[in-house]
Amino acid sequence: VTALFWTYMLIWAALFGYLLRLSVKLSRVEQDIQSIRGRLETKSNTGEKS
Amino acid sequence: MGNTISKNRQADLWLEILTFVVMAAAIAGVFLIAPTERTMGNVQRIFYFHVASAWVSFLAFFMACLFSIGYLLKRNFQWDHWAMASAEIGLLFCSLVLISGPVWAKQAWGIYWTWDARLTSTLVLWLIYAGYLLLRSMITDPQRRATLAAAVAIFGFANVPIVYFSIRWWRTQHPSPVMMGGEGSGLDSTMRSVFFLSLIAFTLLYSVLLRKRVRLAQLENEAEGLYRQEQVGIKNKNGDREK
Repeated sequence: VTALFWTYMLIWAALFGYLLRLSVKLSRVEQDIQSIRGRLETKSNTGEKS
Repeated sequence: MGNTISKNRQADLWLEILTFVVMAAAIAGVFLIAPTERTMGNVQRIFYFHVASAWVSFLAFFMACLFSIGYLLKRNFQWDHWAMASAEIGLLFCSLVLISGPVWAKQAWGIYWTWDARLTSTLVLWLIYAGYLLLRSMITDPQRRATLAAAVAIFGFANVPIVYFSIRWWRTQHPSPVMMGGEGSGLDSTMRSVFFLSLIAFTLLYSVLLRKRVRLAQLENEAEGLYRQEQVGIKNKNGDREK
């Protein structure tokens, strides 16, 4: 039972760890894209004014 | 475009809910419904995760091989993203096979590892796809990286049938096939139902992880493009000032 328990825990820790890593990276990249888009937009607006 | 994105998100959400429900049912089946095996006892329940992980790793490497062929034919980076995502997830499940197997082996054989054909060919499979990801991280030119990685994914897949048939071709310490293994093989009907439920749950989990990993690769690509666009803008501005 101990071996079964640890295998089970290890499998789920690995799978959820990977899923969590993907979710964190996804939200980070989405934020990056938004901030770069924001900067590009600001630049194009100031460029048009000048 | 926005409508397609929200439809994709909705499809993702439904797939995640379905995966969660089927996975919960599979876990309940493994621990509460499947009967305890007479000789090995509770440790035999590792089988439901071990074989399901092995199945997903084979499927993932097969898909990586197909996507790689797609990239070589079309030269479209979308195919490369799908191949990379599938290989990475395949490697994760292959790692789970290599961890859960020895834990079971220690209880059943008294040793964690032996260099028999099934175990050794599985380790070789893991090394091939670890090499695939290592290769990708070492090449910066996207086209060169995608082409070389596609070649490794296609040739690497040749090891999957060797892993699968190793227990039929050679005498191994690893148990002979439980399903379709000829006389004396087979599973109790409840065990078989739980086993198939586990296979479905792990396959659904693969599709959830794959879609997420591909989306991450696509967004990283988009972010890189935008960053480059920003850098070009800064350089042009500096050039104008110098003039």
